[in-house]
Amino acid sequence: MSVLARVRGRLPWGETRLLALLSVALVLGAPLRTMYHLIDVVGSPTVFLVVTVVSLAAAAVLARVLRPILAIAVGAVLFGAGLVWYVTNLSTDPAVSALLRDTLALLSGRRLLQIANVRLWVISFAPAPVFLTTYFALRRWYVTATLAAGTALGFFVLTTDAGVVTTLLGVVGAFATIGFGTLDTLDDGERRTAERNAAGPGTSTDDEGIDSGRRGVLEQLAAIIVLPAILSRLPSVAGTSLSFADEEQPTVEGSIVDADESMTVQGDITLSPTVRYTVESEEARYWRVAAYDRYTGDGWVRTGNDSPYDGTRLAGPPGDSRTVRQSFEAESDIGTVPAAWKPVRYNGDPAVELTTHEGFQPVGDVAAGDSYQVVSEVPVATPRQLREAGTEYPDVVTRRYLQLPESTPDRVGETTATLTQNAQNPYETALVVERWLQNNREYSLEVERPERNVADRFLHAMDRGYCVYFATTMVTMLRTQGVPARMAVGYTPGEQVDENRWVVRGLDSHAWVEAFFPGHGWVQFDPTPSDPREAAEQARIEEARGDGVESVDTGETGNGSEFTQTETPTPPPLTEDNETTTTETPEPTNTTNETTTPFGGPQGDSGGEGSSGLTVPDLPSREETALGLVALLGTAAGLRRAGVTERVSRAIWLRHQRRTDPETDVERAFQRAMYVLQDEHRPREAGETVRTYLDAVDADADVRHLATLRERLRYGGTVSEVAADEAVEIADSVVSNR
Amino acid sequence: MTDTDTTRGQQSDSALRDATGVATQVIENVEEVIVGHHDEIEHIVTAMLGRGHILLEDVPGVGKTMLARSVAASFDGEFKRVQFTPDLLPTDVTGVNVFNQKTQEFEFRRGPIFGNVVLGDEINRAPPKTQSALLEAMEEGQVSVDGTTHSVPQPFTVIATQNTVEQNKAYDLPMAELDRFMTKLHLGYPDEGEETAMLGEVVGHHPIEELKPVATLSDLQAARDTVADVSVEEPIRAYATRLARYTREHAELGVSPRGSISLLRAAQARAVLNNREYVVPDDVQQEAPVVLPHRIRTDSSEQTAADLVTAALNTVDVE
Repeated sequence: MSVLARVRGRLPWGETRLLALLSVALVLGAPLRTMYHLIDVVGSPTVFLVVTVVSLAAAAVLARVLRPILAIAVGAVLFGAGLVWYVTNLSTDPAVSALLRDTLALLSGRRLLQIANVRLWVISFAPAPVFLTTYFALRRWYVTATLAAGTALGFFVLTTDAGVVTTLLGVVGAFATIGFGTLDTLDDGERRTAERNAAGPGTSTDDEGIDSGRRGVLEQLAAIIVLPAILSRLPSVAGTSLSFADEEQPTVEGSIVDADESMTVQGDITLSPTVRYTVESEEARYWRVAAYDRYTGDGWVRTGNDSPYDGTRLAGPPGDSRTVRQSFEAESDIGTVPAAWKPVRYNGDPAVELTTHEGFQPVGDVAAGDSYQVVSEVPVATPRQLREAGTEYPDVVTRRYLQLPESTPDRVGETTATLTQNAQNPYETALVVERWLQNNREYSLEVERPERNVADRFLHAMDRGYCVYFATTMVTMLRTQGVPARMAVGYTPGEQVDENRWVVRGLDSHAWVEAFFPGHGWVQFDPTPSDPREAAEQARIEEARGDGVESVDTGETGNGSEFTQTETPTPPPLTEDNETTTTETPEPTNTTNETTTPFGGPQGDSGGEGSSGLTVPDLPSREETALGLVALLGTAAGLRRAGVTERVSRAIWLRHQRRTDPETDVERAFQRAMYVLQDEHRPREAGETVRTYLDAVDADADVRHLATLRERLRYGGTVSEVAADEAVEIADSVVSNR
Repeated sequence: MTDTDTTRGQQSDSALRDATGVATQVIENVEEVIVGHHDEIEHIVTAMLGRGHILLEDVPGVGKTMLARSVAASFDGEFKRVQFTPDLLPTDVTGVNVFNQKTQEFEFRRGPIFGNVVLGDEINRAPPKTQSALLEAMEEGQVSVDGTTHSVPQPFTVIATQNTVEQNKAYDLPMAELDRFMTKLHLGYPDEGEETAMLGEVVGHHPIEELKPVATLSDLQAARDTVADVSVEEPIRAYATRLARYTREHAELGVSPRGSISLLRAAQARAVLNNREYVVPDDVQQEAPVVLPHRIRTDSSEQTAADLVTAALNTVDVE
């Protein structure tokens, strides 16, 4: 406390100003935090931090000397310079129109993380708002400061890069800044007036005003935070945009396949039994919808822009491949056009674009009944070929597919290295990781979503999850070992209803892994244990049938089908091999034995650390803590104003008298009794002595005696332990008898 | 003022009992003669115990003099009476130096002021110079005659009466001199029953002739000492101060610090009368209406000083 006081004494600012500046820090912190997160996902944040600190320092210094109009000019120059620097440093040379279109896309909800060079972008964008906000805050132009930081935050809100909590924190900071700032300006104005008039006393009432003003600001802040939270619990509001709480559990499909250009790893999830497509194909494949390259720690983002598809045949995979023709018919309205990897030709009703991962993406929606044909070239590299593929990755691939957030704990890499120490090449590494995850993590749709790095948590703390967790973790693990990998989403083959015909339901949606092998391209791996997954899917189908959901079946599916025995199709071999599938069987022999051994010890057999029962529950994040604190303070201020605290403490005060010294005891006993009398009759009036009052309310003898005891103490200066005992006893009985 | 720290606890219960006894006996004794006016008698006794002087103001014939005489007669001390008239000289009050032919020296012949209880009848009929002779004795406990000062006997109490009927022919006491009286009382007419009872008693043999002293001077002196030892704690002193300040804020001329001192002394005596060795706010409230009003000049004719004191008592926080 003394340290605090000393620090406080050294600060040249008044309390209100301090509060206002802290609020500015909060509102500026929101966009900065968002930018930090963006930087963190793609690399080291050092440069960003340096740039921020330099801007802060420059603003602090210039705030004393620079005139506001010049500061705005400096801010504009910073912004412009950043823009120019960004454009000139881009590796590609985009047209101005493309840049403009990108900007518009950003403003309409496209995530900044999808920008290829987000690091460059953030570093060039950061200085201007930091400088302007700090400068104006120090000059007491709080509204302008809020405007500068708020614009930055608003931009990130539009790009949906700022999380809900971060945004709320920023908004709270903005309100706090304006509230406290106004008070500070008033305060300052008054002080100056006072100094000018050399007026002495008489500021106490103003201080009170300021103080109650502060409390008012706090109350409003609490209202901002608490009210929506309460509202969202009201049945009439729940589920609307006001609601924080996502009451409805997302489906696997909704969270991965329908996710547009970015997806967030969800917690608990359900399976949708609705039929999506009917596929006619020469063979069962994973029907791939999309892939993601940028891992954010809690989700995935696809960077880059879609390009138009003109209907020509695309290049197939670099190595050997086999042509697979598929024909899809959408059974419900949907927004994706799945196809087996790697599609080379598309022909159908819905117009499509080409994603940066060479997948097809419909421009609009796909309506039920729409159909399309896809020709795919399925890679057919043998395990030997893959084993010998080497590590000569092209730059384009390493630049994009080895990215990991800077905040990824080192232990992810360390664990993976231990696991794969016997792997001789990337292919073996991938197999080991795939097999290990299949064997050591259970499949479950009920997952508590981890707060931080999903892969790290799944690898080190959790013992169960669903495909997204498995795939995310495997990609992360591969990337730590320098194996380019990406997250693929789509559908498993579905229910086979005829020799070349499959019915794909929402619950068949799936996430898996693609690893890159030079000379062969992207090869699929699936770390999710297939049996429990299929069991869960089958159980869901039957449940839905039992509930009489019509969309579960087409005319072909169900009991009458001759292919019922393959309702839960075995996933096709990931690396299909013309020669023989048996090569896979001996493959793990040299690895499986070793894979489990290093993990018998530190990891625990299958449960991992998480199952030991010692896991600490996830603490609330820093932002949530800060918000909670503000809410708490404001609530306290509100309760105080409403007199609740006073009433509560009064009730406690009335009922429990702790004995101290006789004087205090007698006085307090008397006050307690008087309080009860006041409650029962009327308060003692001004100018009314205790005796007169007691006469007026016709108090009983005990109370009169108590009054005499107290009178003796107060006016006669005599008191004794006995008197104190007596007094407390009387007060107790008065309180309990009322 | 009482030093509460040193005297607290030293006061013996018997001293308090004695003092209360003296006061009660005197009051009962006076009530043998005076019908009604119980409160006023109490006020007179508390003023005497509080080392103060009393001014009785009213229309003639309501028993001012009789009351004063009864009080005086209840003590065995020397009782003197001065009838103030417009031609009364100061020396008629204080006494005069007379040349003694035998001794060939001036010797001081003591005036009526040298008594333990001095009744000054109708003091507002005497010229100011004469009045001030009385007032000097009241304030200083001494008189100066031809440059020589002579102490009056102790205990010394002046009970003065004042007529309110012949205002224009009277020399009204200035505020500064009124201030010297601890209490100023109005007797008022007795109510119907009391008056009838009084008439029954006084026709024929007036009871005052049979009134016997019930207390000695030393009793009175001891009671005064006891009163002086009554403790007045800080809350009471603060209350008195608040009352005084209230009157100053709401009147042209408010209660002076001397007024506050008088109030607390009267309250001390009141405490003794109630057999208590400490002052409570009730004591202050009982004495304030007779101790304060004659020290106040209100700024409007609608509000009397008494009204203002009532307002003060109703408004000022006891604590």
